[in-house]
Amino acid sequence: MAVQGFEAYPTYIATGTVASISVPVSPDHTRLMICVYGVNDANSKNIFLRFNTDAGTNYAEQRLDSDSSTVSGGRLTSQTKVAIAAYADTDASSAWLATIMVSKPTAGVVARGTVQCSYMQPTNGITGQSLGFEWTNTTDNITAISITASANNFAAGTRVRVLGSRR
Amino acid sequence: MLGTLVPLSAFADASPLEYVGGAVLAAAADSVTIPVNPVYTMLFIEFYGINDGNAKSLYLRFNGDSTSTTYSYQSINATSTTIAGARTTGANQIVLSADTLDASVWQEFTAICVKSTAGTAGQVLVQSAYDPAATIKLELDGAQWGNTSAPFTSVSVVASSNNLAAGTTIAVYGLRG
Repeated sequence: MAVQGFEAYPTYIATGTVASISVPVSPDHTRLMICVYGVNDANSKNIFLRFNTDAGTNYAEQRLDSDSSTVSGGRLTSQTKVAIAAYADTDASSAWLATIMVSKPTAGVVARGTVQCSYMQPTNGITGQSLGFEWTNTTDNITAISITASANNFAAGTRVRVLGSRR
Repeated sequence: MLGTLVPLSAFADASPLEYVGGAVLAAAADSVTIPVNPVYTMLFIEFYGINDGNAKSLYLRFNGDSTSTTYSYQSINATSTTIAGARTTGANQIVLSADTLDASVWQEFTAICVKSTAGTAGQVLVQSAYDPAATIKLELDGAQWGNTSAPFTSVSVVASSNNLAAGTTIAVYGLRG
């Protein structure tokens, strides 16, 4: 039996400030591992994940947020995006790293995945987010991944790495 | 670009996830270090450790940096129904188990580490499970290594006391560019 490993897409590197990054992916890759290394150029606050630029209410997530000794959970349904980092940031130039694993074996099923994110704010300190999510659109395969700043921009140098495994 | 299909032939020139290095300890040691070629900007680490004594915590360090106090990390620890958080700053390592571990305890962790250029800080995500006194625990860490002067050139896992037992294994994979 052939063994299928992960294949790497060319690295996306922002050459200037960008409000959103969209990376097209092959529908042949039914498992995706995404690594985003971002730097905010201002108070970007939240970071959103979408598939196929779908801004409908097709996302749900259960999250676990940690900020110093405070740990909190929350479930969100009928969302228009997955909030990778949901934090009332007041710092510019925050650096963050998120890894996303998502699987959508066929076009007719819900996509499900997990996110782990750390968010380093120069003044407020480091925070962590971990979440499980669903994208309930069952019509399409995943053909694009979008990472969007809720406000302001990602700085030049923000990188998106995508690895895909075929069905 | 939505709807533009990426031909699989496009991956012929893309950088794959490459094996950087690894080790299986043949004898107990207080640490294990894997050299890293600085061409790799993203590292994936898989570690399976066994303590030969009360090793307490595991430390994760980069480039042998144990003096800079530029590490900071936010942890979530889960033990049974109890969940706790903690932030540590000004540390000289990332501590991967906030507990006093017994002898022969194992700890498994996976880590993603990114340092896109020499001028940026290293960002790290760790997911760890360990078993003190046969009570499994989970720890999630988001961390930063604030040294901006160099790319990754090595990864070290260090026992806070005593040793890592023979059979401890580590594998490091990397992405370029």
